[in-house]
Amino acid sequence: MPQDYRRFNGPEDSVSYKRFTKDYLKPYNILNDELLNAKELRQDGRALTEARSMCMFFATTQVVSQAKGSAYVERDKTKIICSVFDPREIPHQNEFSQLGQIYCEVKFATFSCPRKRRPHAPDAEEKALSVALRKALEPAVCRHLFPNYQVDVFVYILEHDGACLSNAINAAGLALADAAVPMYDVITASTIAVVGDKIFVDPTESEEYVALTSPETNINHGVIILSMLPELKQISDFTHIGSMDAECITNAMDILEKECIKIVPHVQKVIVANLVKGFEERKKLEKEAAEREQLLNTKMEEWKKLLNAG
Amino acid sequence: MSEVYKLIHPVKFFNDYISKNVRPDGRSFSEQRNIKLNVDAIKTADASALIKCGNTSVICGIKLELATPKAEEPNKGFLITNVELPPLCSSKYRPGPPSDSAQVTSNIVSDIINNSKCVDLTDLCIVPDKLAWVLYCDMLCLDNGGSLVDACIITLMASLKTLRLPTVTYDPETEDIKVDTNVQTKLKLNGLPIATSFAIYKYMDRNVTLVDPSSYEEDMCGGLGANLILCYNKGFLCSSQKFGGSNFSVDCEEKALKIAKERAQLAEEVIDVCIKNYESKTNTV
Repeated sequence: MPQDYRRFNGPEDSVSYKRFTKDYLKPYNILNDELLNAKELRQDGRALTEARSMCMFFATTQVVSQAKGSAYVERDKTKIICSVFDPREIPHQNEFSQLGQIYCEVKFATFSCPRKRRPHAPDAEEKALSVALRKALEPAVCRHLFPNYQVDVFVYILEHDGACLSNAINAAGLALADAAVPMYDVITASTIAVVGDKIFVDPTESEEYVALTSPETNINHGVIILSMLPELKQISDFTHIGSMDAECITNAMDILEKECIKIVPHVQKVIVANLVKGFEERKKLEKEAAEREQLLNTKMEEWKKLLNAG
Repeated sequence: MSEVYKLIHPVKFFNDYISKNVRPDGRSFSEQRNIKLNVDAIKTADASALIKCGNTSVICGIKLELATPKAEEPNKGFLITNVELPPLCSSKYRPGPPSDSAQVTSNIVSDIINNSKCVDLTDLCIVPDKLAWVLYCDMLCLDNGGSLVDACIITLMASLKTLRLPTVTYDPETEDIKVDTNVQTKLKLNGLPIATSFAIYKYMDRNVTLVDPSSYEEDMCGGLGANLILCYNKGFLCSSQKFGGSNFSVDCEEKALKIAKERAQLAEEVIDVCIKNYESKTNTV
């Protein structure tokens, strides 16, 4: 691997200490059994169909003050921050493009993954996520309104505990709304993991890991991500990794659709709350400005009187 | 209205404030922003801390790895610090390899940490010439609101303070390594460097020193980031750097040194309180 001269690098042969702990390499069936306890509950106490509660928070000034719009989405342990910047002319392009472009970049923090340390340089997974995010957002944004311009969307995954792409889409949707980029609809996304006949809604990292390792027996396994525009009833992105029969997929689509619609009120609440806050702040500022102007006017009157008297 | 004025007459806008002895965000010249610190926010990292200092927010995560020490220093471990300024934190940065300013900041932070000798690298060695800890400390800027170095150093020190090293047993014959995460030891820290940034602005014929400048003030004073960075380590000056900006008189320097010393004590207190709260919480659970 070529040396990265722009950063400080550690020794080349370093490996995570977790490699030497007792439970580093567990066989597939043990990992699989560990996912559910005797009561058919997951490790964090959720039922199979229960999604994690969502903590969403977005504001221009409170998350990233330098950005036009920004959002922070936290789903239990998965933490994602996203910022959107002003449109700028598309760099290195000669032809005029009718539609505006969205430039997406998804990046994992080096300390975000539980299994190994991530390299600084972008890897294939990050690139794939970036493209998937762009494809998901494109149908939601009114791109004809800013031809020949691009909007930058930067997503940073601070902690990865499953359902990364779907939460990145949720965060990006919020940040775009915050940046006042014209959109057709709210965009929401959700993930499920399939292991055999069990369907995990909003999986954690360990559940995703089991779903993506292919077992020796030929059972259904995989991860499905769906993002949609709920009011328009349109699907903007559908990603499916793994192998499963067609019936399983149609079943999964129904579940995912319901999950996506469940998120909508949360998103709307955040947007409305932020809008109200912005209005109140503006009103306060306008009031203060009016008071100042009045003060100035009375002073002017006094001076005028003095002048006239003189 | 003021936004328009700021765009059309940037220098005059700034001078108007300075002439009234106040800064655009309402602070006085020697006033610093509040520091908010939170430790152990990221569970996937071995130690982490998040700081918010005004608008500036930096998150630091430490990942532990094992490696063989260098042949020329067989009894030393590694402490690798990097500062990442992603395009997310400000419109000044573009996607791609680290910008100049990221590299400069990275270098300053690494210099301060290595020269202050706050971590004894021989403590990180497990078996000389065979096995040593590598501490990858990555500081990620989420919002660049000025005085980046200060924030980076505080998060780094706070996360180093919460770091616990698992015990490692090494079998010299079979070269077998076993790690036990149940028994953990604290990393010993000697000293606690704290940096303070200043921006120096020339107004009329006097020099104005702005403590803990915001990114807007840094831009107005010229230069890459803050103009003057002073770093105190338990009452001793351990690093001072001056980058660009206007000239600097001796009595200004004395004043700045005094402020930096006071701020170092304050930041130390913040870290201590935060760590104490965290430890009492983890012990009761």
